[in-house]
Amino acid sequence: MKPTRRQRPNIKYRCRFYKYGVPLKDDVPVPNEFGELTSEFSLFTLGLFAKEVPLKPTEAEEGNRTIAEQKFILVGKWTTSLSKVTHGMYCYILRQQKLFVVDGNATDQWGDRQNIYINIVDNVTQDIATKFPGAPL
Amino acid sequence: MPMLINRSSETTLTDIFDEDFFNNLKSYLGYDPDTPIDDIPVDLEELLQHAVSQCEQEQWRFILPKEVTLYLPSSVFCDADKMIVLPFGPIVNNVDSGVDAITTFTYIDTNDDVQSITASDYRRYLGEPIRLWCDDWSPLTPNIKTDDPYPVTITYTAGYATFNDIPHSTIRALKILCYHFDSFREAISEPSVVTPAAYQHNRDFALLNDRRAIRYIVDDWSKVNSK
Repeated sequence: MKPTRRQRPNIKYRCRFYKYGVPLKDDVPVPNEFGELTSEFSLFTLGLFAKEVPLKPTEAEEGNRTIAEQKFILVGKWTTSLSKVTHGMYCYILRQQKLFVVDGNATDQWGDRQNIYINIVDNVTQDIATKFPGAPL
Repeated sequence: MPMLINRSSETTLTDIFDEDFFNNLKSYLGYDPDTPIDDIPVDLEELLQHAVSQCEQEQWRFILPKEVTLYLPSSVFCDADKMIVLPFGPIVNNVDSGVDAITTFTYIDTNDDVQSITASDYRRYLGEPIRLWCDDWSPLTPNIKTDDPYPVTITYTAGYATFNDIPHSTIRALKILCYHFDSFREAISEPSVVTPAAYQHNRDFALLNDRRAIRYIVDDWSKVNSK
């Protein structure tokens, strides 16, 4: 018998959400040791998520070429900080050692603080991906 | 039988369930174990306290140690097996520090004086339930007041002294119940929070038997868990 959606084993991934930008302290940009304002990754929050593939890959233009994008939906348990994940943050999945971009804000569809849904896309540009600490090039 | 449960003597939850257990529980509920406690929408300690409370009520044994006082009739010494069986799970006997779990074992004599029965006068069978046995109880209680409905008083501390003492099936039952309470935390009516079958199986596994020692408490169980 073909396994149903319910019976399918659902791997949970440990995800780390990062902000990328100039670090702030009291809303004031903090320069690095050389006195420069540089963008860097800072850990925002973390969670345990099932990763669903909702759609076929889509094509997107990057500069002068076309790349295939794949969207995923992360489904996890609601926490206060995960509800504050916003569009443009980065999601690093430890098991896959891969960096994704958060597409749209985190949503709690039923408003019951049970589950949280976060869309991610695998279209991180090379120049950003290389700056991620510990991520493979 | 009348009995008194001293809830103020109950061991704190975190004394039995350590941080490792709470991290484990976080994973079980679907949270990353590194998630800060403040970030989770439910209070895990409160959740576990509810689960423990329900499990204690349904298993008829204490998980968190607490003091209980039983008031027994004089006929307790007249059973054919010459045994007194203490309900509510194992007793917490800290032999190293010399603390005896049975703090009071007395009876009222015909002069209305309280007489003690010392531990050396009878044999104590550890395990669950605790059994007190004496070849002949009558010399120990020569002038017990038989007119009094409950002349015998036993005070002792029952429960599991450490996390490792708690049966595995009970631990599994607690986790399942925590998940259930977490998932249905917005349920507003009693029937919608019927406990899951997996919980009931683990709760009942090898536990709903004579080890519960219901001999003295059947009539009064409603008083045990008022939370």
